[in-house]
Amino acid sequence: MNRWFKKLLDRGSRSRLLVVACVLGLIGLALMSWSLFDQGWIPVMMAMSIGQVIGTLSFGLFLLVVIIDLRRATFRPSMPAQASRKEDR
Amino acid sequence: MHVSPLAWIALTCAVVAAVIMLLYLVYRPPLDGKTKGFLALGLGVLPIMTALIGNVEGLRATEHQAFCGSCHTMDFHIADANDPDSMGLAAIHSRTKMFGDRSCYVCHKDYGMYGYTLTKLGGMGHVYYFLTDYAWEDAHESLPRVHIARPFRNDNCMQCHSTSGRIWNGVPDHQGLLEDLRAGQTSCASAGCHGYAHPFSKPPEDETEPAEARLDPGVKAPEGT
Ligand code: HEC
Ligand code: HEC
Ligand code: HEC
Repeated sequence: MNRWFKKLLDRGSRSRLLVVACVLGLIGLALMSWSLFDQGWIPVMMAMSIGQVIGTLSFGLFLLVVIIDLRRATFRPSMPAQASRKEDR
Repeated sequence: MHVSPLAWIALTCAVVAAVIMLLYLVYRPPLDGKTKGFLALGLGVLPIMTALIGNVEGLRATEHQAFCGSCHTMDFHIADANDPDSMGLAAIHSRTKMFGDRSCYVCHKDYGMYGYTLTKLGGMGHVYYFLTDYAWEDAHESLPRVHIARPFRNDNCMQCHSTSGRIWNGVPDHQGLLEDLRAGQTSCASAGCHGYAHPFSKPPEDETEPAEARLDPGVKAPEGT
């Protein structure tokens, strides 16, 4: 995996990522909403191209935050080995 | 301006999502489960709803005359199609209740701007021509330069006119040319037959040319279409 990406996963600031995600999300939504009211070629094309790319980026950043979060949590991916009971020892 | 109920739903989703994002930006709450839940709505579910509905609405919008009319290059075609006195095929077909306001779409379904190609290169072709060229001249100047890219296909007409009806087949010209017409060898929309769909854009001398003249693809397809 890309070094930079690994660093981001390990130490990235979730709240900073979310700020970027929200700003992108607002821009994307604005573009998409514009086309709901004005269906000329410019708004429609902007919504279906740039609007969606920006919106997808924003959602992608949110997913990234979820992944960072999950990596920091403690999980037991599979059944623990038979828990040792006192009397077995 | 027509806003469908679906569009209102999309807009509601967008507004709620925007409020969630703004609240996050202003208050920057700690990232606990509740915050993450709201953000999943505001950054995920709701914007995705808006985008999905926006696509449906966007694709539907391209079927309307008004969409084609958002470029002035198309002005004359639209004006003629909606002129109650015009007897061109486009005008006749723009008067039905069923598809009148989508008439450009029903005949020009194969036009590059329809479908998802809108955002791809095929549909961008005319946007490119428009932005690099046609946007700087008025519709009068453009008119003689705009030509159909490929010879118009009879298949487009046959979506509705099946060529199997009794009255249709009773027409001697149809009978004689049946195979040719179905195969697209002779164009329905040509001088000598049903005339041009947009007669105003054709030089008058064309009126006397035989039907086959239209099929000689003398018009060069512009690049990218
Ligand atoms: C971005 C502005 C714009 C919009 C919107 C637009 N057109 Fe055009 N159209 C053009 C330009 C510019 C040309 C001339 C291009 C060339 O030189 O071939 C053209 C040419 C055409 C042609 C002839 C060339 C061909 O591809 O056969 C047809 C048919 C056509 N337009 C139909 C439509 C229809 C139907 C719509 C509605 C979906 C529409 N146009 C919307 C700009 C536009
Ligand atoms: C009855 C079917 C029909 C309808 C409806 C129709 N067209 Fe056409 N269109 C044609 C045909 C056929 C041609 C080929 C040239 C001709 O016959 O005039 C054409 C050609 C064109 C051209 C190329 C330039 C020219 O004049 O030859 C443009 C641009 C165009 N159409 C735009 C439109 C727009 C915009 C609308 C909606 C208002 C529309 N058309 C509605 C059938 C149709
Ligand atoms: C979307 C369906 C549809 C398409 C596509 C279509 N037509 Fe029609 N056409 C109709 C309908 C419906 C009428 C009847 C209109 C009316 O009575 O107002 C009609 C009427 C006509 C008429 C009779 C006009 C008159 O003066 O009474 C002719 C001729 C005709 N069409 C030819 C064509 C040709 C040529 C094409 C292809 C360029 C075509 N149509 C494409 C549905 C269609």
